Amino acid sequence: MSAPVSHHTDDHAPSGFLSRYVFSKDHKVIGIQFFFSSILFLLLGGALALLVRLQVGYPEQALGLLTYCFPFLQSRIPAEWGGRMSPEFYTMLFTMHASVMIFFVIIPWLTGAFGNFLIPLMIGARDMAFPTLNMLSYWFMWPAFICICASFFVDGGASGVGWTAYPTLSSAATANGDWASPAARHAGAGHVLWLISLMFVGVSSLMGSINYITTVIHCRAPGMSLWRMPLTVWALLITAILQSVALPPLTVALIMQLLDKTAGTTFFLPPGGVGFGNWTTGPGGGQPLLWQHLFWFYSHPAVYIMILPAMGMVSDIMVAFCRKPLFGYKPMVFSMAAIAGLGFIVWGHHMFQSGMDPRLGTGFMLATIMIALPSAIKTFNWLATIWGGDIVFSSAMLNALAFVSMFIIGGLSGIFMAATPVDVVFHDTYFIVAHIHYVLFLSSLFGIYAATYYWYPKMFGRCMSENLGQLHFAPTFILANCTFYPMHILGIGGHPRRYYDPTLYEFLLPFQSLNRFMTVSAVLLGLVQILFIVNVFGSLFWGKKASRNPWNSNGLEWDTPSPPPHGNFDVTPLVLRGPYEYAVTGPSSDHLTQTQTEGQQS
Amino acid sequence: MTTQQIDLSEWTFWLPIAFTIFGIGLFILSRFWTRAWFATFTLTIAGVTALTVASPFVGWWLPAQGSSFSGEVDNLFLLIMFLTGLFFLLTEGLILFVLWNHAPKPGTAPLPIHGDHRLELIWTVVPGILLALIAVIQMPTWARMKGQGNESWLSARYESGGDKADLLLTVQGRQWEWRVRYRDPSAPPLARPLEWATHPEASDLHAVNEVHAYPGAKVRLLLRTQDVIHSFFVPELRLKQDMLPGRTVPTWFIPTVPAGTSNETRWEIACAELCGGNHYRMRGHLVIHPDKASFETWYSTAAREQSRRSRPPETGPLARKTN
Repeated sequence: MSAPVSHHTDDHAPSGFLSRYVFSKDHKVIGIQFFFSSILFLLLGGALALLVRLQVGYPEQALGLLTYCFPFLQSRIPAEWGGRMSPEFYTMLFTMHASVMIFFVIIPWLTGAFGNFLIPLMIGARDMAFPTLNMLSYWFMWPAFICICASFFVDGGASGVGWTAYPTLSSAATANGDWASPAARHAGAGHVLWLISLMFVGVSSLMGSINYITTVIHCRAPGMSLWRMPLTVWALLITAILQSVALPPLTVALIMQLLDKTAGTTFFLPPGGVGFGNWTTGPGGGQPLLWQHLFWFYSHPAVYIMILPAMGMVSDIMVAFCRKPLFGYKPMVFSMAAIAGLGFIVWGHHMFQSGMDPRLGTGFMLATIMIALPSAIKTFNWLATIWGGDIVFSSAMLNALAFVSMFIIGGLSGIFMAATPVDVVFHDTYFIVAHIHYVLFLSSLFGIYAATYYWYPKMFGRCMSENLGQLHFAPTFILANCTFYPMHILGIGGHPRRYYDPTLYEFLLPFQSLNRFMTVSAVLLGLVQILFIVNVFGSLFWGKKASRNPWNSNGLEWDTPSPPPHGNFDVTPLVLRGPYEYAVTGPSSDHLTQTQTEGQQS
Repeated sequence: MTTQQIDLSEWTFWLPIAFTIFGIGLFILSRFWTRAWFATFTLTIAGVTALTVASPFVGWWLPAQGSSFSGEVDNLFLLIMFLTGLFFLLTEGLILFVLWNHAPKPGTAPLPIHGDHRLELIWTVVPGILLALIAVIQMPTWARMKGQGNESWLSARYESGGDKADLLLTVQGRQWEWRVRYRDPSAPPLARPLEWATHPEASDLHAVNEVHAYPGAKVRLLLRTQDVIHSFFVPELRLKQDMLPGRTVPTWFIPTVPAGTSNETRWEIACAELCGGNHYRMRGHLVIHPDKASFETWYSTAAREQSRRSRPPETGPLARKTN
């Protein structure tokens, strides 16, 4: 075996177009590939979300509004819907919105795009430890892309059983061997493709995370001790560990459900079987609750997979734009590690009302209460970091500040869910929808935006437009709050989620005006995102040329040209200090990069 | 299905548009005014705070309290609301203060501070204590809601004569309705109440989508489902319990209505777990009669009605052989 610290990349960049830009083993190209596919799926997931909002806000008129705006859709709408969107179609919309946003946007963007691009640059490595595995991790996304897109067009349409895919709704099968489901129209072939697609995503993430862990442990530049790594690298390392432990159970669960669906096994079917109308399944040999345990054992850590990298990146961005050292570097790392560790024993808080033993609920409640503490510690350290800083209101900084101020709301609303009696009331209401969107949209996505504005010059050698970025930020921040904050109020009123037409219920009628308000806000929010898309693609061609270090930051990635060449560093950097030496009297400015000696010009 | 039915003059339509224009205005303002971003954050955070504070006054709040534990759950909610509200105001206030100042005083520079042990200790210990308080204070409520307290009428093993539930009923969910079966209140106590859920008796009263009870009744519900997971949710009761295929999940409530209520109280039963396309239509009613006498009148009328017919109105899921 070769020594672990060898650099597998050669000094000469591949010359062919295919090996350079398509089947590339260069971590930067792979990161950019993840970056662009995530943006495309963001558009799909966003469109699905708007259709969901349209239906909830205007249950009677949604379809009319849609065909009014897009007349070409008129001929494509099935006649049996009778002028309204069908309820089954609606279940498909929210299922696919969640699945696309989680598995094809947030996770690949954070870990795939930024993880790949930043880790080697930030630790002074020439590339990832396993470049071929890295390439494979991106190309394993393609079967997933194809399956998930194809699932919209198969008989019965894409999966409509919720992104949680609870059996027996999802797994019930008929006897004659086709994939049509007796439980739901949208649990047929489309759901089989959904399961296969998620398996590919899981394997891709697993390959990526093994690669990240190895790279961070083995490929750091001389002098780059663990305690000199930027928080971004720490966050991505901890995320990779989370993924590598949590993904195998999910993959196993997906295979079990796939077998239930296609091969007649009964992992999630109870001994008595279940009956749909005149059709009764045979006796089963499993339990529907088993799926919930397996699923949430992955999917609760997945929430941290979707927030930890953003936390790390936002820390680094805020430091650069308030020209002050990070406050509490080690407490920040320890609290991320605590979140990751505790993250594995809190999954039961998704199941307080599920029929699980109530004493088990108390155990999960205690763990869930405890996990609020590291989040609080991180928040206070961020506040102390910006306290007394010389704040530069760049697009990246604004989005990072939005991350912190909105993560506070998302974090605090989580405490309600840690209180078992209150959680039972709020479970599966809009309060949960509000909470998850404050964590995933107003935190993770704002974090992603911040990171995009911040590292874009390094990725593409051009800066994004600051004017366009700030013009995008102001309405996005306001409208995102208009769209998601009232959901808390709806949840307090008991509004169940996943309802096609809430106006059927008397106790929900007073809330319908809020629903309309949120829908109009959501449509405007969606439109404003066009500014971001224009900025990303337009700046590729018309952006201002970026210098090596456009933000005067300390990280090693800013020691390379923008964009960095194949192999990243001309000379292997020698790291002298941590990445947070700001507000010091440097030789030429207020900061000392990780490689500068005291008297050296930057 | 036309757009004309949509009222464009309603606040729900023009307010988001106004907010968008307002946001763009703040962006333009930020070109000239260094505190425009402070204003953006302040107004947004003030907006969500105002909505939260104003909501109870315009009817956007918790549903009426309708069970013995609903007040307890609401108090817990309000306590958490209060504590998280304090932290919300404190932390957001600090952010806004930083944004207001946004730069050190002329002639000074940011300080190279890397951390502070005492501060770390304070903001670990203080939230830690408050979180521990929240954890401890909810445990008795949880135990009571789940029948882990001293209520022997909720015991799984026996119903002794004096301690049995006033109403024992099975609710079985199926796509997309609630099948309800009452045990005759005058029938003898059961050795194993849970088993009755799968072993119907001839004297049982059957109903669909309606659960009847009266104030103060000890109602014991045995939840089952025929097909997929459903969740029995009555917002006023603060009760939500999933129904699991293949299992009988017991739960309970004691309904309460405001003193002096002389009419029936009707609350909606909603399904809170996605159960297929018509999930949203799985609507039932919980009918609380004004007193025990009127409930008994209803019960005997319904039982007479049922026995007049030769068989129970529905022989669907419950009669299905469990093999």
